[in-house]
Amino acid sequence: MDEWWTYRPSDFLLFSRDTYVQLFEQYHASVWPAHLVLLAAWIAVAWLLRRAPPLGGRAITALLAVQWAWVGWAFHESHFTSINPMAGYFAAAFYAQAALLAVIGAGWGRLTVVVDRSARASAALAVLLTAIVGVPLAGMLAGRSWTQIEIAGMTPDATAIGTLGVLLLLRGRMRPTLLVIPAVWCGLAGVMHWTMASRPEAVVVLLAVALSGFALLAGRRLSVQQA
Amino acid sequence: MGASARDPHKGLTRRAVLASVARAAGGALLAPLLARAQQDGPPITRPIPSTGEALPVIGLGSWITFNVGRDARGRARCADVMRAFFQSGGRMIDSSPMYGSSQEVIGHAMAQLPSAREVLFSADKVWTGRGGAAQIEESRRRWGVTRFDLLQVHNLVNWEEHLPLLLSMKAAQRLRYVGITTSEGRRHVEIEQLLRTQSLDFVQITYNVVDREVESRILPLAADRGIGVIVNRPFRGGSLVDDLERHPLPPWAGEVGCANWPQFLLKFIVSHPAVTCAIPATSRVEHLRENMGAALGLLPDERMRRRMVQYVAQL
Repeated sequence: MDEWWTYRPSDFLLFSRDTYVQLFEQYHASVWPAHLVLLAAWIAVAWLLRRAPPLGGRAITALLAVQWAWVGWAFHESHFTSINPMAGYFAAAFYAQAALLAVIGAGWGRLTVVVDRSARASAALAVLLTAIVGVPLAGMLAGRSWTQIEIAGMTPDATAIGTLGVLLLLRGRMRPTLLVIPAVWCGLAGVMHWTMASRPEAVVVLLAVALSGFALLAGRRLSVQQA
Repeated sequence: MGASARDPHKGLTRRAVLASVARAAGGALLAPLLARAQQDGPPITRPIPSTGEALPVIGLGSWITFNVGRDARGRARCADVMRAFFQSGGRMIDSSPMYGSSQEVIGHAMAQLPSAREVLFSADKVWTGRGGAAQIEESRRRWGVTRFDLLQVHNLVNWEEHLPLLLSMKAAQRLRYVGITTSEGRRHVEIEQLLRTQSLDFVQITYNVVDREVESRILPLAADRGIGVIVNRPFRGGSLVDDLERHPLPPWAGEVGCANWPQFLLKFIVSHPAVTCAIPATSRVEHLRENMGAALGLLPDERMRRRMVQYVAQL
């Protein structure tokens, strides 16, 4: 790209915010009642986090993998590509994350559930709560109707934030690998919302990233103290 | 500029004649669309330097505003904007394969406006590293036109390959005009070089009352070389209007028929003698009508243009 330093994020935004949020309304209408399946998946994730059964890590990451694959196909590939040629690449990234979750988490079983009263777990739960409650609320504050909101497991931002929250409640050497794509997506989403002047949504995404960073640091400090 | 750029083609002549006959007869085919334009008076036109064909000074861009995907309401809104555009006497609609679904949305609207086909001046771009011919064919299919009036090399991307292709299409009468584009002041040195060395009909650049770099070299060069100028980003993507609307229009704006800031900004642009037309984009009919109002009445003279620059600068 020539004179690349002269380009701003707005130069890459091909659609208006109205068109973007309208896309969610079309998407929700076209995939209903898939929402009920995804709701059941989140209830299962919550139960697994609370009970922490022996195979909890595998089951949780398998459920997350399904959500990433679903969002990649149903949202990015089937809807978002209609207004954003880059969405094909986004779909590929979501498929890659689904594959990583399936192989590292569900296949190898390298992650275990650790939900305690530590600062790490509290911050991780806050991130999870942000995905489920904060993101839809921020959307409505920014002017979306309830038919246009983001839902964890159904739409990209809430899914990425929810995944960060869940992964921060798991332990395992391979976990950092699984955090990369959700974190990068959150960064992209934050910039996109900011560029579209949708401040509440930008703030909530960036807040989730900050909370995730805090949870990671708190977890590392605890590990050092325990060592 | 080669002689071929100025020579009217057979197809071009037939098209022009057909359009003229239809207009002169107040033909039933075009009557519904032209009725409104006749009511407001015809828009100000400028001749395309290479052929003398008259173009209304206000066209219609499609960046962002027409990228509505498959949304039926969005598409209907865009069709309304295009209908109002033709009713106001507009002709040039500009798009690009880079603009997401905009080409398809234009094609969808044109299918509902068959009587507008004779007046439409279709301007699109080639924007790809390789496979320019295939991309142009895909763009043509999306628009639903038999051929484009104007094709431009978007942001000079791979111009070394695309310009010869466009010029060969023009020579084969599969295209009427050839151009190059840039925006926001990028690659002006290369643009100047191409204006000097290539056989071009149009150059598309960014120009407005606050972004006036092109006044010093590119606009005089285009005028000197007989190359038409299309102006993009007349409102800086809308932000210029948003900023200016916090201030009152100067009391003397009415002297040149400016009833609002968009008309002030557009009249400033199209009153430059080298400019052929500006292509503001909008997805709202009321904004479209405001924009088209800039093609009516008087245009500022040089003294008034200086006054406009000074007024905006002191805000």
